[in-house]
Amino acid sequence: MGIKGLAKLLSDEAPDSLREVPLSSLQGRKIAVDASMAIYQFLIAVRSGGPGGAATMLTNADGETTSHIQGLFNRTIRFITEGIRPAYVFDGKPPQFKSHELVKRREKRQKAEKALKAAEESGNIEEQDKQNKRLVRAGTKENNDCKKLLRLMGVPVIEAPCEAEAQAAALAEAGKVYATATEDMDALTFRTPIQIRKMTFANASKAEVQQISYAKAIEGLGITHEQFVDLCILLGCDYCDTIRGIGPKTALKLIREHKNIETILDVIDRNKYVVPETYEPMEARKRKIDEDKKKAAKEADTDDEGEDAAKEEKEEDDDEEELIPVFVEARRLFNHHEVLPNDEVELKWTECQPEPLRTFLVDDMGFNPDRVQSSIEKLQKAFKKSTKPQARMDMFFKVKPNPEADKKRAAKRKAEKEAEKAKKKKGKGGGKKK
Amino acid sequence: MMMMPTIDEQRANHRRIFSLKYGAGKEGKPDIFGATALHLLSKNHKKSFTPTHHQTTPTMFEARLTQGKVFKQLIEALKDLVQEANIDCSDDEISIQAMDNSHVSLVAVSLRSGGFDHFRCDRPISLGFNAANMGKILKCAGNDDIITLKAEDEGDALTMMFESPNGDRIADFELKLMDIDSEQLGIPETDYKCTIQMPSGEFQRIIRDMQVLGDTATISCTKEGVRFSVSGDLGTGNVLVRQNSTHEKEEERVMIEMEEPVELTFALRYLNFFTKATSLGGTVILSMSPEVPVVVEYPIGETGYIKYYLAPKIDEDEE
Repeated sequence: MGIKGLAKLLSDEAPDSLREVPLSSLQGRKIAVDASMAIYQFLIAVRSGGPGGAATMLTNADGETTSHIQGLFNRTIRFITEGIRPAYVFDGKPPQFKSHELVKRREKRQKAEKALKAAEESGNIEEQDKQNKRLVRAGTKENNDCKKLLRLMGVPVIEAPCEAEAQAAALAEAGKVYATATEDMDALTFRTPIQIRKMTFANASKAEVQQISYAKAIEGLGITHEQFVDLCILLGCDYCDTIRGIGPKTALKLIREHKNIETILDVIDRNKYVVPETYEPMEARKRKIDEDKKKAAKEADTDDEGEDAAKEEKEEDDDEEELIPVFVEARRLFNHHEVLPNDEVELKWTECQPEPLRTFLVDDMGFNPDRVQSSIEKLQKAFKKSTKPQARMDMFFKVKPNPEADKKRAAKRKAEKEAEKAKKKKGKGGGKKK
Repeated sequence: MMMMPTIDEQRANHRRIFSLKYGAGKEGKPDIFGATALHLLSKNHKKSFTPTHHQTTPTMFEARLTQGKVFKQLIEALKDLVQEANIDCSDDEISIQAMDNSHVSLVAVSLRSGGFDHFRCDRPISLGFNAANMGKILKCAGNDDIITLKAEDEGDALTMMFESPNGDRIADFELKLMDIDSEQLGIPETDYKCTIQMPSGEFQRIIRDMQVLGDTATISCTKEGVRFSVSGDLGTGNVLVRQNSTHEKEEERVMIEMEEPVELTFALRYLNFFTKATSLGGTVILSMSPEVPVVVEYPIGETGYIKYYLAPKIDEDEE
């Protein structure tokens, strides 16, 4: 999911782009939250049972899961109490291109199911827990429950035509919200100016969130947006395979040197790196046809050669129109994702509807009435406060550029890196002696 | 029994040692005894005098404040609002600028070198500190103590020395410093539509009273005076403060300068934090203009100030 290894690459190469900030520093901001990601997190994190037994998801009397409702309800109230205005963006249909990735995920599920059975038989609780979490799935019902809850709470729900991260990023880029909140790093590839991570962790005690600045990330990596998209594709995204043998460091080096994937394909050592066929469908097809031809020529002594050849040529023509390298497709998905036009998205926070909300939570979900009551009161109070929102200092005063401090930080980072290198060398030297 | 040297004799002694190291004071005026010198002397009672001691680790920032309580109160006045901040030292002042976690308010402190008995800063230096921890250490200083701050270039600690007024007790504390990468805001000079000067104690009381009824207060400045109002579940409250520029005590005067009426709404929580600075001075100056942050300034003597900026609560204007 997301972009493989991008978070680590940023922390190594563009540490200025990452910032740990307290949740309260988002006070007054509108944030587009990736709902699917949040729901997954709640399904995994909000569980009952503890040591001695396998933790199970919370359920109501009918045995329906309610973990996500519990998590979403409490967390959203927390946001609003902090003066944050969340808008939840739900996934639409997955892009066709993702089907490959989805197949892979299905395979993983099946594997987990098998592992779970094995664990149950052997009574390994830890393993059961682990596999149980892997099997968590946010289905249509879960999503619809959440949408219902949010609407009753007066929080905007946006249904993206395609991927939620892309929609959220588009809103952020248009300035309709301040940031995109998701764990998926591809929000950056979709060009959200600010991405917030760790925002929907159910763990309330730790109030720090991670804020990533797109502009600083690009600046720190020293590449353009187009190059950044190609870099993300090389790192590994949801939409296509990667070139085997190219890790994060190499990918960045190649992009910095050769600017785009096409040039990289021309120059890299094919013996060292394995380029998937889908990257060069035309060449692959040609090779295959050549091979087929050779085979056919060998075997088809008795056949009518002329007819066969004509057939093949025809096939070739058909294919030529369709075959686009897979990374070009992925690039298109990142740059021109299907999103709602900005003027069609209305973000409006309204008062919650206490009665239907109570009915939904207590009767349908089986929550404790007293707790629901006090939570609703909290929500109403927080909402009342937000009708006259508190302005922020940065609306009035601009941040002063501080080149001195930046220089100092850069120098310090360099020194740290060198120290690390020296340490590694030392370690290697020691190894040799042994 | 040997006669103890009088304080004056002691001071003369200090001056002599001090001038050994630093030469004559800046601009030819007789220099106030540097803290270093005193420090040396205190060691001198036990060990032999080593004039080269400090040349190996040169102090690059040193400021001595006879009224140590000012610094103590200053940190008290911001430690509830901000967690961490930088003390920025330059050749003519020390200053602090920091925001609270929610970036709703900002505090700016300036103490100019003239307010210190001795001030030396060889190069601009930033000392990042944790306000709560600094506050804890300053609790160890008596209200009459003389406080000296010292820091070395590239050092990772701030030395704070507290001397009792008669010089018979000298305490040294070191606070570990930290790297704080905080954004500094550029605050332009602004002409405000309303400026209100009033006794700081009166302001503190009004804010406290307002908090009984609610968490948001409206401050409106009109020809009539300044009105503070609040409304909450219990009921409502209003305090009107009228101009009173003739009171015999200057600190007790209420002076209002108004170009046009201004009304702004604020979170009382933050205004309450600001009144922690009340002990720093008898007067407070509020400056307001429509739709910009209010400035709550406490002048510190002639040579310094602590200013708080608070963003107002705004009416939602959906674009």
